[in-house]
Amino acid sequence: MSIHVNGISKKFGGFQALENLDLTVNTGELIALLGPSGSGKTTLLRIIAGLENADVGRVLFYGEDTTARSVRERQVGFVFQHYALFKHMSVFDNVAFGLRVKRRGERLQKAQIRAKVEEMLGLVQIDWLASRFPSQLSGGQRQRVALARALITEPKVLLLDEPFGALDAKVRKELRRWLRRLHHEMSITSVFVTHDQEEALEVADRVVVMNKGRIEQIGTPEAVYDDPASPFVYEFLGNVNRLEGEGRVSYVRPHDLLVSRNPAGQGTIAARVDHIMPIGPTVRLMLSREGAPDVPIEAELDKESYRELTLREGEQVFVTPRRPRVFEAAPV
Amino acid sequence: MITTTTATTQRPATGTLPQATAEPVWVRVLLTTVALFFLALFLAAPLYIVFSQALSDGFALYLAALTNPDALAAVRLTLLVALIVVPLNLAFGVAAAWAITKFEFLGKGVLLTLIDLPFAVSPVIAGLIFVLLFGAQGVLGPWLDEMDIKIIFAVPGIVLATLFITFPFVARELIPLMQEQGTEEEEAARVLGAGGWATFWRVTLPNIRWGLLYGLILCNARAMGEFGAVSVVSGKIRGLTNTMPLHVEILYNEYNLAAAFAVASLLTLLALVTLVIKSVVEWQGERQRAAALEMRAEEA
Repeated sequence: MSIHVNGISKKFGGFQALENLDLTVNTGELIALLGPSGSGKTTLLRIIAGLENADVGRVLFYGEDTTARSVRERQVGFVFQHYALFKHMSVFDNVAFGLRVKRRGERLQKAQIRAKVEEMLGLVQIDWLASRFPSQLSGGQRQRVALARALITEPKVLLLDEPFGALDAKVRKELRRWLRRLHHEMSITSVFVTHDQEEALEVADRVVVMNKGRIEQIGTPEAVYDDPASPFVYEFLGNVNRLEGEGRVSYVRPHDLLVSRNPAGQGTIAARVDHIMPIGPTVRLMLSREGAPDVPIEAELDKESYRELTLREGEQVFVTPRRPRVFEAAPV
Repeated sequence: MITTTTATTQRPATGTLPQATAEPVWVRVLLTTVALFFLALFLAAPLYIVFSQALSDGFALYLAALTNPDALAAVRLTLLVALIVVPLNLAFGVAAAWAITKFEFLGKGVLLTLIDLPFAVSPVIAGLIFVLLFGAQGVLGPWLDEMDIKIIFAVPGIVLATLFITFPFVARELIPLMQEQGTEEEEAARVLGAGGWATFWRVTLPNIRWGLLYGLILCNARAMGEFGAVSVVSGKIRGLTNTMPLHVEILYNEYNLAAAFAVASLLTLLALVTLVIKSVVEWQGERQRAAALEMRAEEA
């Protein structure tokens, strides 16, 4: 099921949450809406689901206009940020909910519902928790219940709002991989909202970077990271150094800075080593530009090159941007 | 399979460190004594007096006072009023709380203030307003007379006055509870294909059931015990428009103390039963809330 969003605008009071936004999600794609808080990503997700109405614009599923259809009729799966599990129901009843509230004609027999729920619980690997209540589950288990509940009605579209936001780092990593696998097994069109760039880059087929109610860039994780379309995307995705000069701003990633003891040709900047931080397999250098101590520069080296340089804090070095990206100075 | 890390919280050893909130022994003893003394003076003593006075002329007379036709009529009327008022205020309270907490609309603040009005107005004034509206000299009096409808000095007036006095109880109990719970679970139900009714019955109602019950108990207690407003509109016709509290007053004014206290003892029993149910419901509600809060704290 493909999703088309055409010219959506939405205002909350005086706040422009979304502005004339277009987006196409292809069938079977896994898309991340990435942006800082207040960028409108959750609002867009809720409009696609039908939980919110756009002021202007249309949402099409498979080319069919669903703008006038209610949440009920859109038949999407939705996973809420805090899961919104039904507190007074067991895991089994939570998952069965979507099947039980179907209209009389479409409703399955009790035994069929039971079989289906059990199968779904098995799929998300929580069949042993069926009779527990949400308050007796860990965060990761609740997440799985929320997913099972959303998937039981076999929606063609799955929408997830900050699906891993409330989990600790380890569980989060595992669930991410698991979600990717599940997405491909079920061949479902999925859109998820996140403010975590690592999560977006790791999980999604394509990333939609949003800022102030607009889309800054749409592209594969590789494209948005290596070839950002705007200063905003540069600054939002990954660490970056912002170097100003003569009406232009150039951006360069810390690992794209060549560090040497001698000046190495054009574009070389003299800097002082303020701080050395070995982090796992890499070494991060906090530098400051010579003559401008309040302009911090961050460089990243692998352990090998760091050893060859034999650097010490306080020493002078030269850094050369390998692949700077220059924008006309329009401050972000 | 995911591995769940269980955090064991280490409690600091109590008793060894002086606690910031600890008071000297004599202060604690004094405060407790004062509290217990007041409790005895204002709660236990009256309770004792009500029952001892009621039974002062023997159990046979106590029973006779209760089975007196006028007393029985008062009990019947009180039950009838409660039976009409409580369900109506249940419907109104749930509807108002639902509207206020789940939707945004113009005039929400006004509605919230109006719900509090019966708490702010003296019950006697409330009664008078109904007399001014529906009484023989009232605004609607002539028209009602023409249609041969009696409201003031009749059962409908008592029901109306009680309805007015008790309508905040359910709504006031539910609004904070429903605000705290937000609308996420309802949204989840809608996305899963549930209609308005199914969402209400399967999701909203179970979440508010203890708060609702608590509000209903308070509403019922007040409906049965209301004196001021009812006394203005009832006319106190024995056997016809006398509720239990009004009947107690009449007997008392006739120096029929044993009978007055006998009927009063029934109301007191009602209060005691209400208190017991209320504690049980409160305890259950707290448990549910604690579980919900714990969940939210873990996720935050």
